[in-house]
Amino acid sequence: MLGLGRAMGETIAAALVIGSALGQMTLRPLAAGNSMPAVIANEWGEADDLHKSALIALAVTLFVITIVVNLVATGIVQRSMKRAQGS
Amino acid sequence: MMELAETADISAAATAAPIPDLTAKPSWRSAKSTIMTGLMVASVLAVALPLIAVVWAVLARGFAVAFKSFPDFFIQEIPTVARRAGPGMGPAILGTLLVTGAATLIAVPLGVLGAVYLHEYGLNNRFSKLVRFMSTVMSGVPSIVMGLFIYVLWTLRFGYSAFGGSLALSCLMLPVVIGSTEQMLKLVPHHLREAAYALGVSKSRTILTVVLPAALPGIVSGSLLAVARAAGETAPLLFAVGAANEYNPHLFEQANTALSIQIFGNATSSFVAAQDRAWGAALTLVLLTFVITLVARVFTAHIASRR
Amino acid sequence: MSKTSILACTLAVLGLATPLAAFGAGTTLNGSGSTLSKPYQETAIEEFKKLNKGLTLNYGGGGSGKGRQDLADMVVDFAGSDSPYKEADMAKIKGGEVLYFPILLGPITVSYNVEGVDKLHLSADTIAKIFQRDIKKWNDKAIAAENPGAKLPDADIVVAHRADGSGTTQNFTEYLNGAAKGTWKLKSGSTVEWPSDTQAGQGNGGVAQIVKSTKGAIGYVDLSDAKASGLKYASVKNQAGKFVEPTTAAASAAGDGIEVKPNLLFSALNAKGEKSYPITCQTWVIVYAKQTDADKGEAVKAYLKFLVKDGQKLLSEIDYAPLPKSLQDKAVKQLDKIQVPKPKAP
Repeated sequence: MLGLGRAMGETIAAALVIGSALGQMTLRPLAAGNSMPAVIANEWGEADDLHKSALIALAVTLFVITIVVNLVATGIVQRSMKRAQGS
Repeated sequence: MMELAETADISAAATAAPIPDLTAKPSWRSAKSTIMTGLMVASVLAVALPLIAVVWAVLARGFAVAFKSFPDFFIQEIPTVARRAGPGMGPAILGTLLVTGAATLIAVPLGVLGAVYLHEYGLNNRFSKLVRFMSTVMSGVPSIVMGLFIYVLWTLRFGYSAFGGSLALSCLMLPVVIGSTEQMLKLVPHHLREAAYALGVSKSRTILTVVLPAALPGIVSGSLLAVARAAGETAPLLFAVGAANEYNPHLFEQANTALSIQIFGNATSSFVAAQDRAWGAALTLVLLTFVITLVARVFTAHIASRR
Repeated sequence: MSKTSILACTLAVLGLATPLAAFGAGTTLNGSGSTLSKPYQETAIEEFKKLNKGLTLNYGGGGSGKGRQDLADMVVDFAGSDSPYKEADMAKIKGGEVLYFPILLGPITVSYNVEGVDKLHLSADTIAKIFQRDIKKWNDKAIAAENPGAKLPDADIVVAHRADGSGTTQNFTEYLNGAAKGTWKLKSGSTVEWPSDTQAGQGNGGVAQIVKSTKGAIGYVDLSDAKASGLKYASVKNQAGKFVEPTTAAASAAGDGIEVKPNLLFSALNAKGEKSYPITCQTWVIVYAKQTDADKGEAVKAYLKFLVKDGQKLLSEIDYAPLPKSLQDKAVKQLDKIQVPKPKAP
């Protein structure tokens, strides 16, 4: 889970190679795409007020998604631990 | 009477029947075993190959730059004009050491003490559950968001400084240290603690003198993971540390620079001189992390052998 | 024990570092912002430091938006920016009135990588159609019409643009907005919704790298980076109908005859004049009119004077164009508006 957390938050590595495609969502893994931290990193430098607020809202969304993923993972771990302990 | 007959029967049966063939027969189970072994080897290769490829690339391109006329690259100042060829990442190395060192000094004690509370005192009460959860969530915060957080909290009030970068990095290191230390404490067998209690040692003293030393190699490993991550972080430092081309040994004053910042800035430059310095800096960072890991492991082995 | 040893070692490193504090004593100036002007800032800082030993000058780059933000928060002493503060942001500037000092004119090239084509002529309409993927092949009628006699291959065009928010993107798209009205649909801004079958690079260097390594690629790169990467660039049709190559002379020509507002804001895009290169952009250094620190204020004033006057001769070496003389004089005159507090009595 620590690894997943770090991967979801990876900023600069993604920003350099992900291709920063805006506006077209695609599921093709080989097409240029984007990731939330990469967008924040790339567009922060030139963002004006409204744009910055949008980027911060994106950061909050990422935060919420991270919490949800962690909740689910913790639930799975606890359930499997209960089963292993046979309580 | 019956026993004699049985023995006779058995020995007769033994000489009469052929020796059973105990070698593995081709069957679904053995095939499954081979497939799984193959998958395991493939997984190890899949993990090892990128690592080898990265180390090879960094060595191939950075070696000539970093080790030409030996100490120059590590000591000279960064050329102000990016297009000019020539060595110098000295300020960046000092910056990385300062920022990462201070971050370690903040994050490791806090993290170890936190994990001790979580495992030894708090156990599974509500507060501990909350702390564990928030710690895991914090490990998923994008590093740039941490940088923005520190920008608002520290940089706006005190300006760019190496300490701001340390704060941001320690926030990123903390969850790793807490998580790995707690796992290590779980692995310390209970009977060690019970033996100490039986001798009349107080709880805090037990932890200090029995539990922590037993878990030490694992704690050091976890902290090294955290330090390695911190040394390579770029985004938060851009917001907290600023930029500088000269040596700045002050932790709390004035903008500084770090290897990761320099690599990021130079790698996307069009000038070959700057790109070369980026590769040299990348090699330096890899070597730095390697040296830190080596030194820490030597210390831990020394401690383990002394016990 | 080992933790104490590690602690001791870290403290030793920090302790050893302190004697190095002898370096860089004195005033320190920090700046951040536009990466377009970064090469000039670097060269100017180097020369300026030779004349003023003991002064530390750092320019961090990071983008015009970051520069404006840092100056508004008073975290830096000067900001480089390719565009002025927006009206909505003016209220957030903490230190009061700001002054804009133009420092250079920079041509943005349309660089391409096509074998066998050494001279390419493009008009604004064609450029707009290429970058929004209406024209997809090199031997399209529109390109061939502007380049009679060139052997255009039947190859796909690969469009390269900026992944990060950028003043260069903003100026390039503003040019297309103005010069290719009706054809250019993607509007202008520091980030733009490029079509999905395009490639993105980090910084001018990243785009230059894509153009250099991909056959049939085309992208917008500033002259300095295009030359450093050895790219070929197109001659663009200006308002007078002539195809002009992006050179520093053509950029200077674009500078003559621009309308400059009293606060020294202007736009050199799509300039009139036969020899002007139409995609010439400009950048300013922004400082507070009221300085708070005596030493820093004097240093800022001196550095700005160097940037707009003596430093201008360094520009052509690094492939930027100096300001027209009238503008230089106006900028020097605006220096008087900077108020520096009197140094404290010793």
